Amino acid sequence: MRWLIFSLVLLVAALLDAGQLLNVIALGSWHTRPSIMIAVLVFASLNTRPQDAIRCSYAAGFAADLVGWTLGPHMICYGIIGTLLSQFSRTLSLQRPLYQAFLVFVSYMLTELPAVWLESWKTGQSRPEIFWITLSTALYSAIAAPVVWLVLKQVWGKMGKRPEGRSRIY
Amino acid sequence: MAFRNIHAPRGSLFIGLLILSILIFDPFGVIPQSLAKSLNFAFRSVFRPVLEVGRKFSIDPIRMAQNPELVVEKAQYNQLWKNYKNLEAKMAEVERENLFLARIRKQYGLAESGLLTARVNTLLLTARHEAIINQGTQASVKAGQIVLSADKNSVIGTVQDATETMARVALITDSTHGIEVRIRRDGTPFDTPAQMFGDGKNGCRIGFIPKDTDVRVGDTVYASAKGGTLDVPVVIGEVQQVNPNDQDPLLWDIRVRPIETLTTLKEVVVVIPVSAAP
Repeated sequence: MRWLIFSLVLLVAALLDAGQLLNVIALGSWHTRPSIMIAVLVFASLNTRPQDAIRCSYAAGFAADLVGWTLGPHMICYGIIGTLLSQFSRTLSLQRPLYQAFLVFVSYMLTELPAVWLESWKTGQSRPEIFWITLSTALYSAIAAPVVWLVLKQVWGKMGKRPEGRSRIY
Repeated sequence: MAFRNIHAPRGSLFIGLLILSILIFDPFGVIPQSLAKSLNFAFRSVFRPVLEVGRKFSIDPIRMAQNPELVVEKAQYNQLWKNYKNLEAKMAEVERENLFLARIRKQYGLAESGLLTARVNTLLLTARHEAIINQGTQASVKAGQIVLSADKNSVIGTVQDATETMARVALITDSTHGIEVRIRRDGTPFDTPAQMFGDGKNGCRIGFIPKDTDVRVGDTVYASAKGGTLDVPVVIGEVQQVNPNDQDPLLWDIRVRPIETLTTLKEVVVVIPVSAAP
């Protein structure tokens, strides 16, 4: 695995999540935007060796924390969910966009809600309606996931030669 | 890369990184909170030009026509335009006067204007409603200071954290942002103090007002004058809805519509108290 290219992918995802560009496609009164980082997490967890997947997940979590204002919550949640996903990567086949969207939706809910809870626990600031905001972001991320998946697949192909006879990208 | 040379068993790697994450999360508050925030600010500072991409685009002008509340008739538009222009001329006059007074203040060695203009680098209105501005502690910006709109005529938020060159402003619509306000009605002595919080969308909420208080739709909401942060009350918005509280029927659940459109913020003004000025 080429970590330099993965780092660049993470950086782009972090910049998109922290920047203003996605405001252009924000929807509704909550200004819901898709999360790019969650698609990167799911993609990397399923398409790399288990050990690399664990490292990728924690790295993606750290990048997600950089976007926010508390270090740690996303790193913990992304690490756990990414590792779990990599365990199921042999049984999960995500060729169809619908499956990709579903997995991104579930992963976002499972990472973001505990991360927000951890953040609230640390800062003492609770946010009302956070469940609905998270749900709407998860839905939007799921809708955007097949497109992000396609882009990542193109970039990932450049990360290294694919060994013969293996289904996953190494 | 270095990662490639580490061959730890899968379980150990997972546990090791999990422990590292927990240490970084720092549940017992060993690492100073400012260190984590410095890292976040450093990220935003380094990539500021990239993060600003898309600042010029706003979805609101596209949606404007769909919202009948934002469309006025031609005659009314002309009337508003004339009033606006007259006010603008008046403002120019006041500003000239202000400049003159500022010079006098300077001559006598008094503090200069306590208002600092800052540009909004990043504006986020998702789970958090916040703006990153390009002024920091170097320009006496500190946490807790009030932030006004570019026209200096309405409160839009409070400084949350600041580094030397940047600051994070929590907007009034952020669900964790609280501010002391007063609800007033023009031409009457009605004046009620309250605590206002953001609703996480486009508005704000006021709770804990007993139901026997005569709050009405259209009442004006001002940020309370507070020694050290705000010398005079400054308008925030107006009461949009007054409903009984779902959980406690003896209280009002008041919805406030901010007068400033926060989705298009490009410039803001930070109120620097005289004591904090350099």
